[in-house]
Amino acid sequence: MTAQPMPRPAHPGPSTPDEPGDRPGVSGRPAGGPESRRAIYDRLVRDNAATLFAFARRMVGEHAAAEDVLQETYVEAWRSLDSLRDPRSGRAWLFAILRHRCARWVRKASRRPRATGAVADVAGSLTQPGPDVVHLLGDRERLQRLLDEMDPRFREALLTVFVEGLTPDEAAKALDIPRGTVLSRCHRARTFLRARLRVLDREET
Amino acid sequence: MDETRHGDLRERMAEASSLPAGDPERAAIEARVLDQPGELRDAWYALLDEAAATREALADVRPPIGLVDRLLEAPDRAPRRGLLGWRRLAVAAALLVAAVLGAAVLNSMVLAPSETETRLARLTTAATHEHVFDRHVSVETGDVTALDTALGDGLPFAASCPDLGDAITLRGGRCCQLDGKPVAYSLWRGESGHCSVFQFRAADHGLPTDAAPTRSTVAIPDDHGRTRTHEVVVWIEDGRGFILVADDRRLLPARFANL
Repeated sequence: MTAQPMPRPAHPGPSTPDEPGDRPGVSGRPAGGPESRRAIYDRLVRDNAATLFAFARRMVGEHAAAEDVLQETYVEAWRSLDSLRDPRSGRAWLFAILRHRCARWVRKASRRPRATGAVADVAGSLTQPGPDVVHLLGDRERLQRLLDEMDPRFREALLTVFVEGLTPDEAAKALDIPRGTVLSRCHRARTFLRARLRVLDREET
Repeated sequence: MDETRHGDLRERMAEASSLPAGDPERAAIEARVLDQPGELRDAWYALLDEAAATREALADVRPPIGLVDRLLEAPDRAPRRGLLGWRRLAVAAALLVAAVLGAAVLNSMVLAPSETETRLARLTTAATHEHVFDRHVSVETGDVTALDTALGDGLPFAASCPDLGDAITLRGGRCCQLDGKPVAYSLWRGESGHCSVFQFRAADHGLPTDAAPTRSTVAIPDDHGRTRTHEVVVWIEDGRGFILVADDRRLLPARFANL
């Protein structure tokens, strides 16, 4: 018998004798008992933190803010872990929390988005795809500046498909918009990036 | 006409290039593109290259050093609210306060719960939640003295399990917290379920040094949305507070049966 070091009530220790899967109030918890609760949380961190951070960083723009948002996301995840019925859907569940947190951060930041609709008016050649765009995407800081300029609705759709990796159908469900809108927003976001990358490249060189 | 058709196709190509490889819509667009002049095919492949590069660029974010470790520690640093869940807390607290208030009205015609009763209600709710949602033990033993000794290292006070009779047997215990204050937790098992006993210093919570046992029924919604009731007895002896939470009234020690 060994005593465990002090209290980590939310951080279960090694064992639970004949518990808790046999209790009606606990059986619905992810994969059984308190130990697995912590194990599930740890796995959610280890498996998803990097991708979630990338999403948050691209969404809120600032490195420190992205970490704050991610901390909030995981604390909320820990608190409501009991509501996660199927640990296999943990990634999508985490992203749902993260999107909500990012949206709140963006609202608080009171940024004035520049409508990507204006990009449609940009003259032809700037919006056409080309190998130069692939090269220009290599400047990650410039890319972030442009994401910061982008309408958050388009940015969110782009990141949901391109970073989270959801299909347009899944993204439509997650964002509560029609599938066609997901595709349209991704298209407009990419068009915006393409044109602005070229404009900035011309201005800065 | 061709120009219009090509314009429409270009628009659809631009959207479809965001679709994952293997998507039927993307495949259909690609099939159409391959029947078109070389210029459109070039544009299609440029879009696909650009989509791949965009995907790579957007995901290329270096996480800060130590991020994973900090996230793993996040639950331990988070305020205690998370352990309880406000909705559950509110429901249970409302029921408990109503019960306490009712008893107070009957006994002394006091219309509002005292500060002591409010604090006890909060602790009782927190303890019931721990009982329902976090019954793990870090020390497995059936020996009360051994448990008290083992928990001693992790507590600022000497744990001393109360006499709970022979109907339930000790399974183990751990150090934890209620309302941010240290608690000795022990888990017991009887024929009809489990009991949890939380032991704490009354002074930590601004409570009096002695209070007679009071019994209440606390309802907690479980993960399936069903509400389960638990029998809870709270008392304070010589500055030591106890909260006993039982799945079933039959698990209560005889001395509390008639409360």
